[in-house]
Amino acid sequence: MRHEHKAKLVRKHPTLKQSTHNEIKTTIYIKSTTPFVSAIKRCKKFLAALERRKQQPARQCVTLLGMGKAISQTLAVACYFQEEKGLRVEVRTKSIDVVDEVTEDDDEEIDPRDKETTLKTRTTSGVEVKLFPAK
Amino acid sequence: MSVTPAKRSGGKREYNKNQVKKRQRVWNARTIRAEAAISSAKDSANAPGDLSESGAMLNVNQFVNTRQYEIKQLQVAMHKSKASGATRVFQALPRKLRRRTASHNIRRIPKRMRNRALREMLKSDQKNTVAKSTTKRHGLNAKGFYKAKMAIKLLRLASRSTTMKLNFPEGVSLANCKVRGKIRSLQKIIKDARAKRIPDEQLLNNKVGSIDVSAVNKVSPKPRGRLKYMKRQSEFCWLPSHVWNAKRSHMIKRWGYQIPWSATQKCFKLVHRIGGSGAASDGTLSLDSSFIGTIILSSKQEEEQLLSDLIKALTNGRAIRHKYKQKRTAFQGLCFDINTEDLGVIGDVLGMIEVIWINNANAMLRLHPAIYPKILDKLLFYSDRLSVQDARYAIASITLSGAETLKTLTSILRSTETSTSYQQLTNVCHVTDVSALPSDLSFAFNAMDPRHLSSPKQLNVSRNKLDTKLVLDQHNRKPADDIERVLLQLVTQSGRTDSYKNQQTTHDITIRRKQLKFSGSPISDNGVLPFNKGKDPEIPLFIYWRKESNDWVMLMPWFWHLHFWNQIQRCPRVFNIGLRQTQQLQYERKELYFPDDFPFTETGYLENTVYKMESAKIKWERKPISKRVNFSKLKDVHNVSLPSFSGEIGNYFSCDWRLLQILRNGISFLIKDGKKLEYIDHDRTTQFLENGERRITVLNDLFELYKDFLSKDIDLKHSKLPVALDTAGYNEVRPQESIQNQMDILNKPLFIRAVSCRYNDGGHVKDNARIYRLPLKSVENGNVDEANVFRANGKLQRNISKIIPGPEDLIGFVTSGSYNLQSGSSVGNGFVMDDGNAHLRSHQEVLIRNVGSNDYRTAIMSHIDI
Repeated sequence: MRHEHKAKLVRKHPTLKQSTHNEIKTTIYIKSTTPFVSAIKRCKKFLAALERRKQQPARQCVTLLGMGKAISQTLAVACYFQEEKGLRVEVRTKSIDVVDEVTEDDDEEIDPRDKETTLKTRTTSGVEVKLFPAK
Repeated sequence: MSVTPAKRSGGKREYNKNQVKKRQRVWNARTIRAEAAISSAKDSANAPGDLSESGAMLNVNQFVNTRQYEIKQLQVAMHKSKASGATRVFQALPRKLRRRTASHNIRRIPKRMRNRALREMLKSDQKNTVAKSTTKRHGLNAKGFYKAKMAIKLLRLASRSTTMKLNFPEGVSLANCKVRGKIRSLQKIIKDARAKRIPDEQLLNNKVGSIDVSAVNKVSPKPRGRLKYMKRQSEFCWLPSHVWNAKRSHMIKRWGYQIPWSATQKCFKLVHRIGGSGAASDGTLSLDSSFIGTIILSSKQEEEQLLSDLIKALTNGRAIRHKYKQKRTAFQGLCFDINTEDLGVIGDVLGMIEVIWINNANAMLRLHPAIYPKILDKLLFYSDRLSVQDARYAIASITLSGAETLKTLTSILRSTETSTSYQQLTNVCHVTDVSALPSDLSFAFNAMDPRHLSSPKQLNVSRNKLDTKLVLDQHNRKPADDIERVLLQLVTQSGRTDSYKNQQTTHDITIRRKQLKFSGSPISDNGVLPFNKGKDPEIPLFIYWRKESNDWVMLMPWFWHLHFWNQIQRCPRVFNIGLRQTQQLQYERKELYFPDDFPFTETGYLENTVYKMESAKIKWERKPISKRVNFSKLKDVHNVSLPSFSGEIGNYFSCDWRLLQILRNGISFLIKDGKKLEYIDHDRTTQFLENGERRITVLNDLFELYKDFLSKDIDLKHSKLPVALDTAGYNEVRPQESIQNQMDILNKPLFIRAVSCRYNDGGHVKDNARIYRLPLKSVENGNVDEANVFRANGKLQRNISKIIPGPEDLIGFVTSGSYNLQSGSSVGNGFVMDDGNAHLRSHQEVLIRNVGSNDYRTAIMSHIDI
């Protein structure tokens, strides 16, 4: 990652999430550290619960989102459901804007929490996988 | 299927219409349909049977498939039966809305269901609890006063006017009416009522009795509350939402307030899910945090330096940095005692403090009520140069956490004017993960009375509107002037009093809504009552994000709190919490909770050694002897047994910091100059020095010294607290304390550092658990590596029993330990002795043992940054 001279990365902000209640119950964010089996179990649980959602079940699907290093992990989960379970899977690539908090204050005497920070945007690649329940 | 009512024969009562209906419903629900013939039986010759070929095994798939219809019907019947069993309307309510004794008390049922509930009660001839008389018992209200005055005038007139005398009913005369006596008694009532009248200068500007209770340069009086409930809040003040919370939470009386301790309903997992930072959060947790006191410091231009110095002393130089003072980010950190003689000297740590700079001359301090009086007292020392406003009963607050907080807030708040800050709030109202936004977020604007909205309404803001550019704008284009203007209204007595001007009763609002509805106005019953500038009150609000606590705080004038609170509770998926849940959330984030996790402060030390210890001890003593853990007879607690104590080490009911101080300081003294640590000296018994002090040469002597301390009143010269936190600045390494003589063992406080210990394997850590370092012998012999052998299933091989530490290995205590849902394992937050190089010692392996047990578990210790 390249920043301007002296600027030091303090914190990577998470992506902007504006989910509705329905989205929260149907979206899974995959991290690079998410265990594969745990992800599979969560997907199965969400798929089973899709019928209970208020919107039309036909339109409903479980969405997996992975970004950067987690893309391969997300696609691995998608492949499992496509190959092993025979579900319909849609994959879309994405570019996601994220915000980084950087500081130019290099005074080592100051507690890092008290240093003033600025925000910078960065674009990263990601993948969105939609799992449709078996009919 | 139908049910015929029983005939009136054989003494059986005939069912009425309703009973017949109910029986019919129950009958239908309980009837389970079945297929006439099992499908597998139809073509048994061709199809495989339920049993395997050999006939010894049941073919489950086949068996279930053939009985699919029956199984489904069984499930349907179970569901139906459950619903049909509910005969009363309140039985269908969700758990959150259920109230006790709702079966006979109509007022315990939501209004929309009351008519149906009444009908149900009439059906079963049930007695209904009716509303009590609304007659006021105390004093006269305006209506009563007017009536009494008019009664006197009429009685006087009646006694004089012949016409009126003639109009008296038959048999009534002035003689048998005791007119004079009546006039006298009425005059007495009026005189008494006048005596209670508030002096003119304090006349209210509203009819609901809201008044600003604060004081400048002196301690504020307590709000008196309603006359009827005045006596019960004389010692412990009620929070604005007390009546609401008392019905839904366990309340505790502490620190001069009655505070919600925990929600009545089970909410351990719910709080974790909603209050946690995960993407699964889909609600809001709300806490009435008005017990956190507010002090407002204002200075003249020439005294701005003093204000800055005071805040520097209070926060050890942190809260005056550019980020907080100039950029107005809310500061949250440790609070230090002020040395009134020299502000440059750093005092003891007292607790936590929040500092919000309004401008260079005004700052707001928010403090826990346990340390509030002490700090206020110190600040009042400077009252001749600064204005110190005690606003603890004037500014109320609501703390909100969870993903839908911003959505909840925007659905109840409406600005009275065009405000950039309000606009910024609406821009981010759909954001569920606030950590994606800048950490210095704060909003301030004048809001209208929340009751103008008949019910919470979400703002119509497009989700597509928000992008990273807007997030940068939130950070770069903060309307500092707007925020300062509103904050000044909130922190001044006149500003708050102005906000109460024309505060309306709920009845007034309802009448206004009805008038609008019937006047043909386009605003329907569900609409927002239009704001009338100049007539309707404008409420200064300040909302800010606390990064350390991961929550939002909304500050408002005290008597507006309840209206906002009520409206927030009407939003979907909003749950009330108490102090216990706040502690849970902080524990899950591996943060320290004040005062329980602050043993290095006076409040925290007393909480541990007096308050919690006494209550645990009483609980233990209440048990029958057979059920109690016999702490003194525990076996195999340590690898050596010393004559000075047996079984459990230290106090059984608390973290024994005094023992830790004597032990660690004593060991430093004993191994000074490269000496070897000896447990006991077989050749001698207890010896005393010439000055009467105990002679300390072996480890056993230290435990004897500890017993001496408990039995005698030893004067401590330097510090009353046995432990202290290293408060050296960032990146500074504290010089090692040396224990030169025996006096130092008791006098020098032991430096401790905060740690979080995560169990490697199973087990359940509890409060007051003891933390031991891995014994040196085991490390040298390689027993530790043996202990960390993993089984094929990934679990740790538990042959840790090989490692039993000695009493000299005790290094700390767990102040709050439980199962952490966030990390999915047992985690104990606590303190261990600090040997100077805290930054280098993260991820160290330790042993943890619960009190009253001899089972040691390994845990990974990580540093907590305070």
